Amino acid sequence: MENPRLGLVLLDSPDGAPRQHWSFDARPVIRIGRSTDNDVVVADQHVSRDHVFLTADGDGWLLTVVSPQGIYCGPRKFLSLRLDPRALEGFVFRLGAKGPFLRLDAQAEPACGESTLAHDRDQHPLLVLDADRLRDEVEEISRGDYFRSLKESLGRLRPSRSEDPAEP
Amino acid sequence: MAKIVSVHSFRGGTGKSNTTANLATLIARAGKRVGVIDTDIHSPGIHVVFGLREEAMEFTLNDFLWGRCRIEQAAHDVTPPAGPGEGPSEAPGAVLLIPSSARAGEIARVLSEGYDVGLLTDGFRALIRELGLDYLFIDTHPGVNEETLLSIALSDTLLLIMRPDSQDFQGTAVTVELARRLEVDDLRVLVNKVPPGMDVELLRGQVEAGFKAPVIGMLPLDHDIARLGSAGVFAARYPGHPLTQGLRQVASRLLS
Ligand SMILES: Nc1ncnc2c1ncn2[C@@H]1O[C@H](COP(=O)(O)OP(=O)(O)OP(=O)(O)O)[C@@H](O)[C@H]1O
Ligand SMILES: [Mg+2]
Repeated sequence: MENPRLGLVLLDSPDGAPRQHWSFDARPVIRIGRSTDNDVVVADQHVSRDHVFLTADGDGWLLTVVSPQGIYCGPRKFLSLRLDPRALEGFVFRLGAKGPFLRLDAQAEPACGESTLAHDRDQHPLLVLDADRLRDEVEEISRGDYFRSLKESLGRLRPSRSEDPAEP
Repeated sequence: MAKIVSVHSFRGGTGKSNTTANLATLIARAGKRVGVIDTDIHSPGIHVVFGLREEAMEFTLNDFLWGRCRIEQAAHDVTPPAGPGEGPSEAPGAVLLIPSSARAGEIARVLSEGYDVGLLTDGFRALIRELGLDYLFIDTHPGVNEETLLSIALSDTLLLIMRPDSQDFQGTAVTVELARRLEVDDLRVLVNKVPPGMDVELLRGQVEAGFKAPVIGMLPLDHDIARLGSAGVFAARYPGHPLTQGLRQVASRLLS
């Protein structure tokens, strides 16, 4: 099923100036959160690592909140929400009670290949690293049996190097 | 002493296979004997770049892993012929490819039965010895699995390829840290598919600061190689192209 293009605009206040925008073509799911493997990465302390997923649901979208912070529409907190296609355009929600706002934009400009459009290069770093996630992933892999056995057999695997006088 | 160069990326589609094929070719043009082994057994592909057809493969890496041949019997000379304006190469260099089988049945067997990853270690050594290699390039499956960890552990040089993308950056950081724990001391980063208009020096600075490892090159997102669509070794087809010049610089840094 071809679901239509969807744009998202990041705002500091519901009617504030756009800070960043994204546009997605025919995506079955759009993941939003602070951690960098999301489709929409919002670097803000009030946003959870994984905050909300938008899934295409017929011609509308389903918002599934995966963060206990929830999303807010006006004063009301939601943990899930189905948006009718007619309600999409201009729909604004807040990530958590204190986070930034996102506005849906069904008439978004087509994305040029990549999902992130109009990165504000002067204000945002080009590349971002989530140090906590990095540490967790490295720890998980290096605790694995295979990694540990590999580490133990390094001397045998690289005979040329084990002859090096400089032992670490 | 031969040098083992593992080419890896955390995420798929960064350009590992194409870059490996091009660097191997350029290093062979400098008179070296270069082996290339496709350890991406689950989704092999570099044979396509070298134009080696399935029917032309007598033995593959799979046959070695199943004990049906010695590894050097799976080597195919795929040295690309000199391109226009390159002149005949006098040097005795060659590219020898050990492909993985692209047959569905073979891939299914690897997936269902697995194989002794440790055999690869013996295989790499035997290849270097039997084929008299100066370099062995290992093209890997993206992400971290047993084969990639082993190839990282065995490598003299680890070449990490990433796109200028935060997800690639995050994933590559994981590999960098794992490689450090596996005591790989020569670790280089190649940033590929850099779109026009990006601030390359800022990018280089971020990557080098983030990984504490040198960037060996930054190659542009290029329409001509994209159009070639892995149907040839770009550097051999277009020896004078700016992208080839960039690749040549990377090759010469690997050589020195
Ligand atoms: N600098 C570049 N500019 C544009 N396209 C490129 C560039 N480098 C590689 N490509 C293209 O990117 C695609 C993926 O390349 P390649 O197969 O080499 O990547 P890979 O990392 O080996 O992928 P996989 O992870 O699936 O093994 C190919 O179509 C290739 O032509
Ligand atoms: Mg590949």
